[in-house]
Amino acid sequence: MSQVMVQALFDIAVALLLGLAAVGSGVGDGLVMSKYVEGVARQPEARGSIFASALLGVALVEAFPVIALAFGIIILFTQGVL
Amino acid sequence: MTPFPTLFKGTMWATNLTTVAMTILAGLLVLVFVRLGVRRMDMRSPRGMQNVVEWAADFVTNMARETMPNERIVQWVLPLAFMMLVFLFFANWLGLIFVVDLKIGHPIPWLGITAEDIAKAHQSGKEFAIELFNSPTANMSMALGLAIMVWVISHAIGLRHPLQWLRHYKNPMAILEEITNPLTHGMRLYGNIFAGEALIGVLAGAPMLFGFIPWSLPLLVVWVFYSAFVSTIQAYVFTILMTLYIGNKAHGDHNHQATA
Amino acid sequence: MFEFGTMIVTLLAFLIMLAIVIRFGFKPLSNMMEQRRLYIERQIAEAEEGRAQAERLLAEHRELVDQARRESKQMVDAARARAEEQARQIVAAAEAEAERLLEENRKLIERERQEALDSVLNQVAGLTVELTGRLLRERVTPEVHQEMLKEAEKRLGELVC
Repeated sequence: MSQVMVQALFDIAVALLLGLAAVGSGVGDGLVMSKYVEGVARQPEARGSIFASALLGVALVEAFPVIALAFGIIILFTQGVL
Repeated sequence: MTPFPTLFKGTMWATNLTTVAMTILAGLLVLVFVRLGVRRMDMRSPRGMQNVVEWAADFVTNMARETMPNERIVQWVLPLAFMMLVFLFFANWLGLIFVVDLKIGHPIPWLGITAEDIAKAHQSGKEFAIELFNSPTANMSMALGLAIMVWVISHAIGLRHPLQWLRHYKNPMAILEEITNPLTHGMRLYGNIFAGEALIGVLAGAPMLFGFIPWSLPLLVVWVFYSAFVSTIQAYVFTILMTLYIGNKAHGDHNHQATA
Repeated sequence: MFEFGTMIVTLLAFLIMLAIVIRFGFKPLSNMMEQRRLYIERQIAEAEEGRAQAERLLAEHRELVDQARRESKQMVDAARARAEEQARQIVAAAEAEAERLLEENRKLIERERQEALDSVLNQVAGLTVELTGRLLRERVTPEVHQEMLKEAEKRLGELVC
């Protein structure tokens, strides 16, 4: 029983980790892309360079949920042995 | 989570042989790539691979010039940044192409494969296999090692002007940054590549619906493409952050400001 | 999870590969790119120099052409002036020649007329004197005769003139 309980707790932990990371990175991605659209609307001719910067920003923001995903997978498969 | 062939397993000095071999393989691929471009080098009319290699070199040069304060440090970091970009690109893509698992039935103690592990794997109804081919950057030690190397280089360059280097630490948050920067720098690379490959493994190993419908196949294709994109982007991000961190520490010589 | 051994060995491997790639791949590449940069810079400098030279040559040529045109115009003008001068001289010479010929002829005519008149006058005088002498031989003394001859001569001279 307690073994199953531990398993369930790990599942919940991973789900929470991924969910919260997704919320944060979603907000971050939204901010980056909204600023990108604003910038393009203000200066359509600078679209290329703004897009490169926005992509860099998205990659930086998006790294954290992916790191969380990596840790989630590690936690899920090693069951906290690490 | 397939295990790797590991020397000194269980100690602090454990050495993952797959990662080492893949690092060397990725380095050799970089060498082959550059040699292909340099092989029939023509100053006037570049063609074929030479264009690609030159484009990569120009790309790295522009990136370094945008993020670094003076031309001397740009020229210094250029080979490292070029190697880093191409190496990480190949390293990140290596694990995407295929993964080699070797099934092993008997223990090899000096590679860290004990009878217990095999017994445990067999207990859960699986065969015991070790991974022989995946991305070197999907290993936390490797990615963090690269980040720490960048950190060490940046401080070595910063310490050439000790007073300016010290002045940077008037703000206590800067000390915190010294820990978080290399950590996130390495973990970002590791996390992206590892998560991409682990999820590919999970999707590929998912049980089929009713035993014959590969429901995870579309997801797998989408995720492979996304991973390919992320692999490329992460190589770029890691390199640009490297130039940024080194450039931040490179004090002085601002009078020879690069004009680019 | 974090393994120092892996980190150190992979870093060593990475650095060795970095050294190899720099030695056998990046150095030739950057040398070539540097060489190309210098080559292009030299080409641009040469092209600029060539253009400056071409402009200088063009200006020189334009100057030369202008000079030649001026000279040829001068030459033509001089030739025309000389030709006109020559023509005028020729015409003047011809006119003078004609004048001279006319004058000569006129003089010749005059002289011949004079001679003819003189001879006619002499004959007339002679004849008159002879006739008069013949008429007057009997009645007139030689003094009177002489006087009459004189008068007749004078009259005849007046007549002729």
